[in-house]
Amino acid sequence: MTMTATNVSRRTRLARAAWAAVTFASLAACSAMPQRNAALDQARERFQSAQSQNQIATLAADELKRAGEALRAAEQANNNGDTLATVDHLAYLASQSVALAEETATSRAAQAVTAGASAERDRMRLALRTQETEAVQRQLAITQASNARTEQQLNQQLSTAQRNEARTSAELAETEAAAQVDRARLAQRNAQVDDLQSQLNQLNARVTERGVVVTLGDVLFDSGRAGLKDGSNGTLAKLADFLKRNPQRNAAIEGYTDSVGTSSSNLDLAERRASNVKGALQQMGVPADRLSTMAIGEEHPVADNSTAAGRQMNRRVEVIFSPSAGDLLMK
Amino acid sequence: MNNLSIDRPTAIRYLVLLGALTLGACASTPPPVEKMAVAEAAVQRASTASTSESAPAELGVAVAKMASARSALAAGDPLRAGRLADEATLDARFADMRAQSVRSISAARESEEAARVLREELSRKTLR
Repeated sequence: MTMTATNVSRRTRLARAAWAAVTFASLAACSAMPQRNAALDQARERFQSAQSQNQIATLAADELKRAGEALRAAEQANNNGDTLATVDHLAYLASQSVALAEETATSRAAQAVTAGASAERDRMRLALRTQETEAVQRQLAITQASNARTEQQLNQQLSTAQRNEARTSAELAETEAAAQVDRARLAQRNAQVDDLQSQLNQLNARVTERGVVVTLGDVLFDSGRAGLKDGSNGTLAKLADFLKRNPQRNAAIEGYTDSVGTSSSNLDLAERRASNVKGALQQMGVPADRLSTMAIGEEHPVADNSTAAGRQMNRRVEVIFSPSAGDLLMK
Repeated sequence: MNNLSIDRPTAIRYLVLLGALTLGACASTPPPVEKMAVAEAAVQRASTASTSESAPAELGVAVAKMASARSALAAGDPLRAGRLADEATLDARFADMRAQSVRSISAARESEEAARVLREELSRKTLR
């Protein structure tokens, strides 16, 4: 076919128009003005709502960020004029991402509650145990205080008992000391008595109702004479000694005779003999005021004057010592 | 033929071809092997007894979405298959999290109750 001017221009115009339409369609498909998309709007609303909730923003921050990125991808696709299927798909992903963030936050919040409640239970169990421990400790303190009081009481009782014991011991010691003094005194008295007894024994003294009597026999005198014989010193010395050792005693010297001769001459003889004894004793150191004499003569014989032996026994001087308390114990 | 002059039938065929290309113009679609695998794994992980119990509806959505993705792939629509797989992945994770939050809320209630009981016991003992 021959190309005429009009034929060429018509085909060319048609071709150009076709190209233009395709190009426009292509361009239209890739870059149209952003259309309203319901799914996208929903996704956007959901995201903004989740963003405003503090719990989600705090507990699922990463998940929310990813949801935001998914939403931006969807918005981008919509702005680019992508197909409806594309935008819907991306909007769905964005929406589910927000849902995932919401659910994550809910789960974590619940876990926090469980952890908190668990911690509180631990705290309370500890408080209970602390209470119980304190109760036991209080009881223990009470028991200890009671024990301390009891111990104190026992200590007081012990010290009181110890004081009593000490006092009793002291009293006992006193009593013992007193007893010892008494024993000493008694021993002393016994000694004195023994001493006296021995003295009296040495003197051949007799204890009578008149007192202690020492009889100086006839052998000290020559017959009918008043002078003391030499051998009499021993006996008289004993008498003097006794008197000196017993200064509370006095001596009464009584002269006796037998019945031979007259009573007056016998009295005279008795008097002289008694005096001689007194004088001898005085010479031996016995003070005179402790010695007294008496002439009895024939009176009060001690034996039968009808026999020689009896007469000899009657011829005597008796020295009577004044009594003293110890005499009652004498044999 | 010269000077870009084409006849009408040819021009129309060209238009149809370009139209077809235009529909798929803004996104290239490789076969969605990785997306499918990720989605399958996510749905498997979510398909536990406890999730079935606590979030049955949400799990059902993920399972159905996965089935749709497989169907789309079989029908020779890789783009759609890939998108459905992506959605199934997210649905599965959501079902997981939903089940978790249901269980956490239940546990929280139980622990609060236990704490309340203990609190009462403590206050009784304190009063004595």
